[in-house]
Amino acid sequence: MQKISPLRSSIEAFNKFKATRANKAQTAQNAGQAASTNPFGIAFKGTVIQMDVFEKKSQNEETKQVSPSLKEKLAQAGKLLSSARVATINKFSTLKANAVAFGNKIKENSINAINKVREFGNQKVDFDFFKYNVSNLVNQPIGSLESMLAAELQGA
Amino acid sequence: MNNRKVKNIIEALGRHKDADSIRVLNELGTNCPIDEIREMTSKALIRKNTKEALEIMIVNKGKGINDLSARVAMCAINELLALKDKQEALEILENTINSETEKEVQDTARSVKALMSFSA
Repeated sequence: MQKISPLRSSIEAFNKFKATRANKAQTAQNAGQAASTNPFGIAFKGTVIQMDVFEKKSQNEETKQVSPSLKEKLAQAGKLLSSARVATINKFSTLKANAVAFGNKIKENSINAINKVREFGNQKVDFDFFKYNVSNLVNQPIGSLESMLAAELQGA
Repeated sequence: MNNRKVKNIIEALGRHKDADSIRVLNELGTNCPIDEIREMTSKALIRKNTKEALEIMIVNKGKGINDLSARVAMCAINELLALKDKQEALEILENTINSETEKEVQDTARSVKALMSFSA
């Protein structure tokens, strides 16, 4: 039986640990990439928008002469700008939807109010308050006042 | 019974220029079994400040200042005391004291006249 020296065993253990750590790092990197596909969480007409969408071929050709670092910077700025534009479009579309909903609500309320007024118009509303107002009663003949008072006292 | 309606009708009768309103108030208001109605009628009649209306409130037994309800009688007396022109009321009170009516009515008229003299 081969005797394993403590030094060799520790080296093997270290190698195993190194391999495991590399594996873990690789997995984490993949997960990070997946998460960063939609960094702004922007959806346009139901499709999730990724930054790659905004890449333009013509723009790439134009920036060929420019130094690589500057080219990358410009591309990045362009992507951000486009993302912001889409975000603004989303915001406006939400506002538009809200405004339309508000308008519809107002329209419904107005229709309901008109219907109620029509219902009231069909009924015979007795304006008791004005009929039995003192200034109005004073102008009425004594006979009608007498009958009114008699009717009220009879009901008592 | 709608209290507000009755109150407004009685007040309207009190303000009415037609002399027949006194008859209506006397027939319907002062003969009503409800104290509150008699109280309102007393006020309306006294505020008219006419000879006919004041006579109903002063001379008749069981009406106005001679009402069996102390509340109604006191209300009528207060209304008499609140009159700006007391001349007519004082004359009727004087006539009632000197007339040959019931002693109870005469005594009430005397007391009210004394009160009115003090308050004037």
